[in-house]
Amino acid sequence: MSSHELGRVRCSPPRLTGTLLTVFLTACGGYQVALSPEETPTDAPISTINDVFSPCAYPDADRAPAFEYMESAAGWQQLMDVSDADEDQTSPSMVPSRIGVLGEDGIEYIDITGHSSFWPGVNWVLANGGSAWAAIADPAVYEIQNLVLYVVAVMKDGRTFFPGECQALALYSPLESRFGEDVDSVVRAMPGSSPDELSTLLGEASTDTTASTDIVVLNPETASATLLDSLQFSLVDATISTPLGDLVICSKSSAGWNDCFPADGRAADIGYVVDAYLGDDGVLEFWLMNGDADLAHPLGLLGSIVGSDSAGRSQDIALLVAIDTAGIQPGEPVMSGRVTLLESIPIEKIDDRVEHWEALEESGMLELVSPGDE
Amino acid sequence: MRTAKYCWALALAQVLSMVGIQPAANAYMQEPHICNAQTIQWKFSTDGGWTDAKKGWVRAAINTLDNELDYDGTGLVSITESTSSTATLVRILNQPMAEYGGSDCFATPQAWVNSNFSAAKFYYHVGRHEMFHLLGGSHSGLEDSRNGDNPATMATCIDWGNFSATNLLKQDDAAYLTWLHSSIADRQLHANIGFERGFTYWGQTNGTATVLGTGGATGPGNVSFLASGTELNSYIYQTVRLWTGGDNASYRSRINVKSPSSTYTTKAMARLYRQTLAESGDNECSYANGLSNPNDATTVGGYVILSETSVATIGTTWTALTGSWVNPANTDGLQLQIRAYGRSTNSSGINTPILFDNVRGEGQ
Repeated sequence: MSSHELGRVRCSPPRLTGTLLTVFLTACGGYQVALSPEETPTDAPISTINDVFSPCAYPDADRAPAFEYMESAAGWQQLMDVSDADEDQTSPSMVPSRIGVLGEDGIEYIDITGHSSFWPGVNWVLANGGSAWAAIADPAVYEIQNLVLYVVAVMKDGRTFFPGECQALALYSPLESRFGEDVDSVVRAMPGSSPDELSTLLGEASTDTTASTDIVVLNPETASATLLDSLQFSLVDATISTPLGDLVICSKSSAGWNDCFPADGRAADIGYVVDAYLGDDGVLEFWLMNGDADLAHPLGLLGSIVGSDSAGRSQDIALLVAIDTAGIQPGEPVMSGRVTLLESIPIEKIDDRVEHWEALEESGMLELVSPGDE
Repeated sequence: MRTAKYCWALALAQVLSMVGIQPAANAYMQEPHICNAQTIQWKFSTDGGWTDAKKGWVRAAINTLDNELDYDGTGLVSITESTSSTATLVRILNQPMAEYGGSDCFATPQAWVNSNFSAAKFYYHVGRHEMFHLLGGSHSGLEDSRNGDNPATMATCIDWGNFSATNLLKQDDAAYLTWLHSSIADRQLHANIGFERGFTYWGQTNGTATVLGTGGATGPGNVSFLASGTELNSYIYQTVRLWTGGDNASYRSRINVKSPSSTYTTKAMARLYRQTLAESGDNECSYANGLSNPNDATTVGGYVILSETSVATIGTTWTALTGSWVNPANTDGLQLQIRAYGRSTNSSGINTPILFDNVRGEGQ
């Protein structure tokens, strides 16, 4: 049972009321602490400061990706006076406020939209000799001018926190997990940084979802119909001489990688029939792979055959292939020249090899259920 | 302090309830979320943040879940808007912008979305995501198995700007809903397996598929497939992306097939292929089964035969072809591609359509 699951128990949401913050610490972890900002000592552990100024009624909420969110700050304002914004904490919400920020000629008052739960922590840190900055959203994205995404607070002793509802959980915790003891120096460097600078600073891990771009897999899910239609289709009926445990054999043509089959006992006893698309040269290579069929790291070339030439492409073909796998040892180089083309026949003829399928059924490896379903 | 005591009671009740409903250890993909409802009556809360537009977007998103069908044409889940006092509340809360939404199936079942966004796509994605949690869905990776089609509904740690502007279930969403709530025994791996929603999510190679609205093996839907090649290279297919993590499961292929005429020669075969998926890094978000960042995913390998049937001669009654269970080595995830091969030929040797229904991989 994970702490995550335990955290799903809901209790009455803590709310900021006036100047008093009543905080239920891990309500479901079992104890209650009531602190006001005035009572919170500046040398309190950061966990206590987070509990006071970043309570969280919904700890298991679905959130923005922390690093991407923090890096999206399009601008910054150093906060000087948020006393007006902090007046009403009866029901924290995203509301317009007028606040004082550091301008070229001192404090300037501007209109912003920010969550009112940000301000008690800002007032506290400013009152205790610290500083605070508001990260401003790109108005083109959020369609709101001066929208505060989050607030960075730096205490007089250099420690940092993110005031506001659930901000410690949403932002500080991921930073702490990534940077450990360096978290404060990283957070202190954030104000004033551009999105690119923030991206460098926070070292965002790539979230690009990509397949290996230089590897072509000749499967209808990943290769275009135009490409597949341009290639000669063949079936490979392959047997091996000796099972190789969890390893896999894949065929490859000049156009890309074809389907793969396990180099298991069935491959030795009966064989597999798999698809193979041939390129212009008609050459088909057979590669030994690990159990994941990791195409970027083949274990060795078993051999190759010429399945057809350009003059023989008038019809789809079936290639009967024998692969000598005897003597292949884990971790040792694989010698090539192990593949023999036994016969090339029109594809229409391959299912005349009924003994192949009968052997499969007799092997007990396949079931045929008839009639009906469910 | 009364609140604190109440919380203690809730926590104890939850611990006790969880002990009794641990999901089976051998389920594949993501274990069901601790919530696992199949029938939900819900209503909008009276929270002040609701507008008619936001209600409309959330309602439309929830309805996409309610529209998905099981193999026989019955609904996979039943999610109905209600005025009942016991209905699950769909709330809207005024939270900081980093907070998107949440759900809770204990104490007071509810789902909530943040009120401070104005884009429809935010409410489509988050509304459906939170309701999917109540239906048993855990977090998945970013990308749907269909290339470039993302994010999947149960993806998390996604900036809202990347949410889809189109209010539709992705293929893997539908497959996941089928896995969670199909009435067929064993876990059903694919989406729209009974063609009750047409040919949605399916592809074809070397042939032409036409969806029929009557005469299926179960339910009205089935597919008439006219092969242009042979029974060994003409097929319909569907690929789903499964994040298996620490699961240890077995899989098999299974299809229903039928010849259109006793005078035709009809042959068919089912195959299930696997392709290895790998995640990388840790995005600090919450995933099941030991996964840490399926948003950063790579397809590692080629497609490897996992489970297949023989090439069988088929008669004019619906026949189920079933491959053997196979337990592959553990990986972060798998893409599983089911293929239903088949061809029917008349007495002149001309290809004629063969009928398919309930085409899928299964897991246990």
